[in-house]
Amino acid sequence: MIAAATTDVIPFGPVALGFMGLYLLSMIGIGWLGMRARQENTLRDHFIGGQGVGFFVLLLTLFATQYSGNTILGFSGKAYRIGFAWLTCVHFMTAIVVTYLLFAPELFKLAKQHAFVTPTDYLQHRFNHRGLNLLATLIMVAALSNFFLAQLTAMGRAVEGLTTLPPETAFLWGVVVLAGIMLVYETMGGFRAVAWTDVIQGGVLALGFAVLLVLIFKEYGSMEETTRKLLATAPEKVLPPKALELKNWISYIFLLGVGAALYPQAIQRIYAAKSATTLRKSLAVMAFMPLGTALIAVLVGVTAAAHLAGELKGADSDAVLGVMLRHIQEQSVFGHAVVVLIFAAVLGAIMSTADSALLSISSMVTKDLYAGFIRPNAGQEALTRLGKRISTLFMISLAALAVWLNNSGTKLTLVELLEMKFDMLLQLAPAFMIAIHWKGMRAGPVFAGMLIGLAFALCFFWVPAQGEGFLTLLKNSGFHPGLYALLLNIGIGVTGSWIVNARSKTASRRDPS
Amino acid sequence: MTCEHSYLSWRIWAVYAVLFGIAIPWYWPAEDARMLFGFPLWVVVSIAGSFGISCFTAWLFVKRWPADEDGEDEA
Repeated sequence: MIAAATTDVIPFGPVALGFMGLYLLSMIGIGWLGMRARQENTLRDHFIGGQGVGFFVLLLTLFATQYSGNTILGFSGKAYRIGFAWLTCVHFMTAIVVTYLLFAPELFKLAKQHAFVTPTDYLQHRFNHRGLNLLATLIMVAALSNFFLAQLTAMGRAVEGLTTLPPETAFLWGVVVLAGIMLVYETMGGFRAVAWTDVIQGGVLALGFAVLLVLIFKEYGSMEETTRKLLATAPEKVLPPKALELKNWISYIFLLGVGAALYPQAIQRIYAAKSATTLRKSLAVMAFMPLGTALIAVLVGVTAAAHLAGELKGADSDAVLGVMLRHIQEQSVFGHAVVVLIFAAVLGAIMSTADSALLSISSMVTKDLYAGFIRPNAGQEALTRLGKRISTLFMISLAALAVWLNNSGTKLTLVELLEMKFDMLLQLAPAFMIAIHWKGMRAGPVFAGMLIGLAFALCFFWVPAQGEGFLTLLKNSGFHPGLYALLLNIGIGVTGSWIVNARSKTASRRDPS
Repeated sequence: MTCEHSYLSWRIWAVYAVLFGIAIPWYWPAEDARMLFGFPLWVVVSIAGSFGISCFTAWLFVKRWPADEDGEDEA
């Protein structure tokens, strides 16, 4: 169920491969530095970086973690398919930062007071309900495993076009080598290694986007030329979106705006801020990032739609950037060098997202599942050691799955993959965003709302796309199923809490003692 | 910063409703092909709206953080 784009560039020579090798090895060096900076052998030190990180590191780790390989490959591919209407992605990436207004300040404060490590630590503190802890943790681990698998696949695909090896062999080596490097630096330095490598990866990514913007204008002419050409050949990619696309636009803003803000690794970065000032300044800068990244990916896709019309179809259209890079690479030595830089940015984007997801999965399995349900009295050192083993286990299992899926040839576009996990993550919203403000929100109704909301969202996978049933109507309404499920979830959580509160008030009036 | 702000104020979300209302291109005629700076006009307005959302959000984070955190800032 995984697909990502091949890069389709001309295989790199020894100099370019040497540069890529050094770039990747520098990450292991950073992992070693992270290990040396360790202050204590505890879960919080390994998974959150102890007392936390300052503005510069926090900003780049938020950036590199939130902007994955999908931002470059998937977004440009979708803009190639639907045109300017994919400006939606600029809005939903901005909406993620807007959503932090709803819970980040309060959550940061609580995280500092109670030394939270995982998102479930907050739920435990707020609700003290084992069922809720388990359900929320399973939702987050499942969503992240799916996401991590997509990043591993993207790694393999990215490497496929780089060497002269057969594609399947290159994919295998790409996954094994890159996943291996990630595992080494993450195991050595934990959160510090992940955040510090994010500084390099995020820096290269930002530089890559800037270079990409200059390149598309240089290679394919002015935007006016592109727009006019597209207006003549595919006007639907230039004209304002129609009613159904608009519903989809609004739906994406809510689905991803709220869902992606609830990524466990994003929540853990709120915990990892050294101070409130650090956090609020980083988030303020993050509010502008979509304009320098997602917007550029849209321009790349639209330019390709005008100048490379018909060259790619379906899932393959995620490879549109690769095709453009190949054109640029063929122009000159400088073009070749620039493509190496952009490729480093793509790899950095994929790895920085993958390593954060892996660390987050490992923290939740160790602390919330193992220490929460199996060995509550386990010591910090033993748990930290276990956390590293869990990272290794997940890495090996999911890398093997990525290779197997690749060999089996099942395909789906990156953007469609993204949508599946957000329907699930969205169901955490009432527990984090409403309950953090409303003290009357009760554990039982929140748990029931989350469980029913999740089941309702997932049932849409089996609802037929054709027919006249109510669920089919909802499925084809232009809004994502997760949003309907969230409304149901909120309804149950809020109404249930009111009823429980009213009953307890009545009971306490009857029996004041 | 001594006064306490809340991000739950209806005024904040009313401003967002207006900004997203401008940024989402729901009000453009279907055949509008006017251009500005080489882009379709609706795209320029949508990007401008998005920039407005970014500026407002950044301002809220920097100037309207809800609690007086200075005392516990470097926790």
